[in-house]
Amino acid sequence: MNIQGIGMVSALGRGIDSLETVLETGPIAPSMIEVPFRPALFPVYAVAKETLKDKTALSRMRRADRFSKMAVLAAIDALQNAGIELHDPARTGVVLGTAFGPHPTVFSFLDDILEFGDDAVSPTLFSHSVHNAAASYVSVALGLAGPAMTLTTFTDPFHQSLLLAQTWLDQGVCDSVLVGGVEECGTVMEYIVSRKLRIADDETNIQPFFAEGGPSVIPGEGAVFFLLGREPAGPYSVQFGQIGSKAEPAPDLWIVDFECPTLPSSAPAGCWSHLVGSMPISTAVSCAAGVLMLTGGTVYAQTGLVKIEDVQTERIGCAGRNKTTLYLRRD
Amino acid sequence: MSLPSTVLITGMGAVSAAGIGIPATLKAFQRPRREPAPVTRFESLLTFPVFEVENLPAPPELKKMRTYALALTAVSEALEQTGLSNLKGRRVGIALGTTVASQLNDLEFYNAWRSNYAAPMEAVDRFLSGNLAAFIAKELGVNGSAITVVNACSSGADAIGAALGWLQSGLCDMAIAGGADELNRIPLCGFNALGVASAEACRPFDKNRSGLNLGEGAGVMVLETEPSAAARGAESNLLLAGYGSAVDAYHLTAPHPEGRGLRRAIAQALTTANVRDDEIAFINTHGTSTLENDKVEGSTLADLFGNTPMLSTKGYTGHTLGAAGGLEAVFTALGLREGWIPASAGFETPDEETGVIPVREKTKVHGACALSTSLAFGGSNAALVIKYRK
Repeated sequence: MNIQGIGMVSALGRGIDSLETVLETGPIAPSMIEVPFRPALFPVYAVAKETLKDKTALSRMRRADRFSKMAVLAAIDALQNAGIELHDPARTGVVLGTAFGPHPTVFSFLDDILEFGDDAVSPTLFSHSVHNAAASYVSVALGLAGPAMTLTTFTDPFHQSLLLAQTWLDQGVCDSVLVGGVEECGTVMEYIVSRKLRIADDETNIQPFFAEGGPSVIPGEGAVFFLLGREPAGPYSVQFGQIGSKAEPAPDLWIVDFECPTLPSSAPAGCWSHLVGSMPISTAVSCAAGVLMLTGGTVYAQTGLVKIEDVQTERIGCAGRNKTTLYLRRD
Repeated sequence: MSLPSTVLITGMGAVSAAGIGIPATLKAFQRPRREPAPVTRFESLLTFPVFEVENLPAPPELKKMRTYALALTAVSEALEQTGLSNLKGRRVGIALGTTVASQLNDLEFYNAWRSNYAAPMEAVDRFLSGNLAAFIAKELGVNGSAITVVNACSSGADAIGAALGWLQSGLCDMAIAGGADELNRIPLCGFNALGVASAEACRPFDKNRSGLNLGEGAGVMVLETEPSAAARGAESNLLLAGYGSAVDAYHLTAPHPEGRGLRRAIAQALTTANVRDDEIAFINTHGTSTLENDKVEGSTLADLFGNTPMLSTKGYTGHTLGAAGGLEAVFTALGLREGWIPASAGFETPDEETGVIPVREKTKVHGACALSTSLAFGGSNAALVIKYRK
């Protein structure tokens, strides 16, 4: 699967360049926001309102929620990043993976039920609370008429989405597939995270590999989309290896999720997904970072368990939670 | 397009208001008694009729996880037909569609949160104990790919299509695929707000139809590559032959007026199955009984298939959302196996706009191939082709 373009929306801003910048310069501090469930400020890597302002791209979705807007902007950027025209929109598919979907919209709908009653809820909120609304908006915004699938798993939604994209490309169902992951922050989920996980503070931030008593997290949100095709195109000359194949050669660098409990092997390892906060779609962020490193011939500095500044890499393994693995290789 | 593997249907399970299990469902299909009634499973001001599953056998730990209980009941029936006592050591994937079970939508939890900015975590723990596919995978002790497809009302059919792709790609040898959804207050309020819930029993494709009735259930297939089945001495005459999926790229909730995506999904399903349109013995339609769905789907199918017999089974089950595609795939396979399809319950008066007249009575079917169609919010369309090898 050739990676033809990447689009990304996160606390770092919009576009894959925003990730490259922070890989070079180091982590930015999270936003510290007021929350109703604790007196102290709460750290979060939230997408700024300004990042989601794009009258042209979002002209047909003024009533859409943040989840859908993040998805559409990242998908549009992936296509623009590739710099190619799609030959046949009916042969381009969309696969969107998410763990929690547009939960703030679901909670807004529940607000309607509780405040106004069962017979006075908003039809717009209801239709946007359905998980596949975002993929539908992506298809409409880009005029794509191939298959569109939305998947959920809590462990590694991007991995499963990529696997489906692979079957569509391998079987000739599509010539290209936009595959991505989307997650959104919201006050209720931040409360749940605070009850279930250790929250890092803004000064210590997330510290990959240094996890006394388990890793500390800072919730993040955003969307990452890859345009994939059977043929090479776009700026990267990097491919995903065949998922599920035992013939993939060992990588010379691992990129691991910062919550990954064990390192996959003795090869050098680093973690960069935490730069946009903790998200179930972090594997997509790791893969985006890996593509930039393979393309630029640079492995960025990592303060962590191992020093990897001098590594020359041709193949990168991206390890997610639940022992999922994706491989990237230079074309 | 090269799709080498023949995929057999070696087990099926169905739970809906029509019956718990396939024998009960077939019995209900022969006596089209329809008694949708106001919801009893939870309190609501809304009194329009729904199709509830009565006397669902559910273990106590699944009392508040009804979608899981529905799915587990259908999976158990389907696995029993395979003759396998367990799946240990086998490469098994799980692909299940749902809508309700994918959301953290517990009103009790959320109301507590709103009142106190704090809430007990039981509902969250239930939600996080695994999404639908992960839950079933854990119950069965399998560790292949597990995805929950959340493509609204085509989720069940798309999950079956995803599993077909895995099997044809050699990613697994067996897959458990379909959909499950429970009756829930969120869609009850939502469909009422959209103005598509009917105050009477639904009438798919009827001129006087006035909307849908929600339902609940689960429909599941065990899919298996031919070599995998042969290696354990299993046989099946039923094949999952083709799948197609395409979006309208038109509107969030309304279908494209000319069925743009549906036409492509059907064409793709027929092509991958290597089946001509005149080989289709009957069509199990999505047929929700809403004005728009039935107009677009009916006129598209009439244009593509002329007088091929067709029906909607939603008059027996209601619209089961994420389960619908799974249930209707099972019903389609049953129609081929049994050699008959039930009356399209609720249909009386033809509608020139839809252009179709679904079967009005139990009807014998001749032929080896049938089509099941699903349309969904988001403009998703899915089509499955099922074959019966005589």
